[in-house]
Amino acid sequence: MKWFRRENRDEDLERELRSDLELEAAELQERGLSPRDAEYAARRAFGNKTFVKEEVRRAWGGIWFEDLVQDARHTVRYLRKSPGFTITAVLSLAIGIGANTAIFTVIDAVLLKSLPVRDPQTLIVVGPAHGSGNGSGIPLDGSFSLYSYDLYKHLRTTHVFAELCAVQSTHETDVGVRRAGWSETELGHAKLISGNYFDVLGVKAALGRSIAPADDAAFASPAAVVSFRYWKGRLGGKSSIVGSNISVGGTSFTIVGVAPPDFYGEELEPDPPDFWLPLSADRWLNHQRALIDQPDEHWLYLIGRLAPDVSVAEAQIRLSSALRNWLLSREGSKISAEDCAEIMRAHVELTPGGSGIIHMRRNYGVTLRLLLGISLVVLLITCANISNLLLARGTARATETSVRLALGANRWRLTRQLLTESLVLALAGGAVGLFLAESGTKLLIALFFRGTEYVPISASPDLRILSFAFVLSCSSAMVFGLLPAFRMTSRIAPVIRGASAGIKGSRLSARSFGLGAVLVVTEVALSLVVLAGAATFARSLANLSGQHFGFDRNRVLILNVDTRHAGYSYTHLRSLYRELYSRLNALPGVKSASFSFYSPFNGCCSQFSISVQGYTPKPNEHVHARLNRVSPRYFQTLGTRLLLGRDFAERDFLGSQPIAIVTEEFVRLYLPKQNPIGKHFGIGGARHAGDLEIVGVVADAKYDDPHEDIMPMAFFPLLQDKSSDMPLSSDESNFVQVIEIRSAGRAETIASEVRHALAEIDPGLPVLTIRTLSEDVNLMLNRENVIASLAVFFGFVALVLSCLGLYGLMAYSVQRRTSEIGIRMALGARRGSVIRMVVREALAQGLAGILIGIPVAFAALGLIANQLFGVSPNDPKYCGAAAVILLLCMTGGACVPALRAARVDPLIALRYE
Amino acid sequence: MRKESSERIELLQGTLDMLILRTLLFGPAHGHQIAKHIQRTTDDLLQIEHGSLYPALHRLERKGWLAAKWELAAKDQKREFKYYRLTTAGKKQLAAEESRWKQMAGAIARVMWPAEEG
Repeated sequence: MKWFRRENRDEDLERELRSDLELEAAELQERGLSPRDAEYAARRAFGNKTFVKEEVRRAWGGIWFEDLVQDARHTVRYLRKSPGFTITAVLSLAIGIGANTAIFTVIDAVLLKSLPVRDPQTLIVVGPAHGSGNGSGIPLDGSFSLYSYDLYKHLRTTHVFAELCAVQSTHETDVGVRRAGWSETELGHAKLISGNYFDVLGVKAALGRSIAPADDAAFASPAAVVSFRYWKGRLGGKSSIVGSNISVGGTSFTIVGVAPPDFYGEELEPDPPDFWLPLSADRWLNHQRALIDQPDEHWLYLIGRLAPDVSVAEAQIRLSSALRNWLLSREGSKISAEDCAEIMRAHVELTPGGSGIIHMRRNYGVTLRLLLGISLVVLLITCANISNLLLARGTARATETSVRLALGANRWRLTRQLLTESLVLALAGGAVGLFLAESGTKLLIALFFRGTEYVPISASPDLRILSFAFVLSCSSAMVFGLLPAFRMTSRIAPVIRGASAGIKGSRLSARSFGLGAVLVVTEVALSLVVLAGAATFARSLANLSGQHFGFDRNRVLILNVDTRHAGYSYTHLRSLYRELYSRLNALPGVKSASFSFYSPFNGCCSQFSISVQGYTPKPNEHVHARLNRVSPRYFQTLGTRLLLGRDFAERDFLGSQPIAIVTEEFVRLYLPKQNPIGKHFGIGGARHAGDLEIVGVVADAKYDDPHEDIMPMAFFPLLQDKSSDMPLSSDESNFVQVIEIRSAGRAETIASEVRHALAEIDPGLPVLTIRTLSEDVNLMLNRENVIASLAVFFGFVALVLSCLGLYGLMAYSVQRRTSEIGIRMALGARRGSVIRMVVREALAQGLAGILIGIPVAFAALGLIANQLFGVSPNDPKYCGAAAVILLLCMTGGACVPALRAARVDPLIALRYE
Repeated sequence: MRKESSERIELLQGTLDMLILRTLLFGPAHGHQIAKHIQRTTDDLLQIEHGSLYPALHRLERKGWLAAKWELAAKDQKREFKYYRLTTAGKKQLAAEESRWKQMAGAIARVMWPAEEG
């Protein structure tokens, strides 16, 4: 390449010029000049040889790049000479850039990337691409996001879509998986998909074939596609797996293929499916009541690609009218005007489906952007700090720079060289930062998705991440490099005249010192914002986690079990529950054991419309309650107080009489100022109001979201007799999902005994997870926990950086003013007053930063107010605390140079002059 | 020895290239010879600055119009010089520049001395 040949060319040019010069001199000599005069005359004729050389180099072109390489070499040499500065700058940049890159990696995966499928940009999700679970009826806002299997088939007949597939919307089914040769049933994640799912997404199996429409037919033999990760990790990763059998949820499936390595489904989520099963497999998994056979139960996402000649607007109109027709046909002929109006509100909105279903985006979008914001501020502080260091060094190099300028060096060239220095620093920081970013990303994923096994986000940087880090490094270089570079080359410093130190020096450097002060003030202001943010987040987390949940989370073990897929019949359940109850409660170390459909913060709860006898709803009031089924001693196990009446008894397993226990809030809302015991309510319309008798009242408790307000709740015995319309009595809620154990000692210690007892009762009962109740609570608060921890971490980094910045500035200032201080002391100033002088000067800057920072911090806190729990962003406490911490640390940082100043010996100082 | 600067004529941009190419039409020469030749031919009216001569030589070499080679001087066998030689491309370029120059000179002449034309 060209620049490698440069040395040769330089030599060549040198030789050419020399030979011509000698010839000129020889000719002059022939004319009678003395050899010396001849040589001088020849040189004069040639003019500035260096200039000629420069011009020739320019003629050769590529000079820009050669200069750059030269600058870079110069820089590396220069940086090597001051390793302390270089290491500080590169490391602090690495932390800043690494943190930003790590957060961006997660943002890219969660918020920006498309699904790894064919033409993701043409995918369309029918409805908003979120919402989950299953339910019947028309959504409150009329906009459909979920569809029943029957409705899916109906919508396909509109031919709006070239292709349209359906996929189970609930977070995939946790199932027990068994394989020949395995000792135990393992937890696996299965997802039901329509037969054309893989075709629509354009995903080809890595091995074998994908699920085909034929597999989804009514009497097809059960077929499954396994994920690449599951195949490698759990099934041995051999190609012989295709065609073998595996038991999923109690049914034997033939593995027909392995999905490609990067495919995780239509939704980026923690613990993506291990198995994709055809929708028809729903009948095998849920023999009691397969959703696929419930025409009014909406539980499927629809994803497709529009037919070529159909616009989105047209598709929406046609689909909405098809939807309304279907809804009308479901109602039959005797439809009320009210229902009819309701149906007319029903409609479908199409959303771009390139990113598939986007729960994560909604859950983590704000948090991630917030973190990126905080880390960018920290990077800014880092830049200000390095800028300051560069300025200080620049003053030290003022003589060199001035001499070069005076000798006619190109000013732009000098500036560029200084910028190259910044660029080299930033790129080195970025390179180290990339290494940090990879571990940082892993850490972030582990923090964010605690309690999950695997999240399909790659931590290793791809091209997008690399370019992000590169751009970030270059912009940092501009941010911290431009100011010092221009300042240093802006004038020929009088230092050349020998005024490098002393009293004059201190005044001469006032301008660059002023700029340094501005940078420190900025740093302090930004740090204050970060610290105040950290304080509010920490407070918010403490509020959330310290609140009264309505249960005692200590010493409770929570086991998630899968009774539904274990093949129990309704009558079998009765004996299973009796045995579970007596065996578990008799275990040593167990204070109390119970089981239920839901437990707090463990996937709770469905909300139902109810009617309460004797209560007239206000206009537009939605009378509702969350429902749960529990065994006797449930409240005792959780530590929820029974306020009135009685708990369920063992005889209530049979539920001879329909009874219920309700919460305080239920009573407050629907049965105020009366004795609720013996009153009646029911699930559904007014004709059910007498169905259930209230036998007890318990204290309120939070079940779903630590942020939410208390909701009315009602509890039923597990096997309460089915009354016609009760949604909970119909099916799955009879199957216990959770076992709760309150232990005498630490909850973890009895886990193995409980497991053992369960295996004795029924070895086929899959235990999916074992956690403590406090772990469940912490998992629920995980996001807040992550924000608070990271904010505190960044706050700490900001604090250290700004104190370092102030320390550096003051140390530099003291050094510049050595002789001034010497004179002061010679004239009788005391050490104490010298220390005070330096600290006062430092704190003046700190205070200025704090004063500027406080309104900015308030504004920033106002922006994040909706992320806080029980914290007012206007509370002066947090900014105050941040200001106090900053002031204390800065005083510490200023004391070191102040003490050094006080040790100045007047004699030595004056000798400097 | 040197003429006063006011008497010398500043070379038009690009003209030096043409003069170098034309000089080399006589045969290979080194930088010093080229400069001297132009100076002599123009009775020292055109002084070639080294600061423009060498960049021009290297520029022309880079464009492929000149080729360079280190050779011993013809008369003084002790010294080696970098001799420049016109390449075929260089000859074509010279022809092109010459005709362009003629056109321009003619055009300028028509503007400056319109009467003489008629």
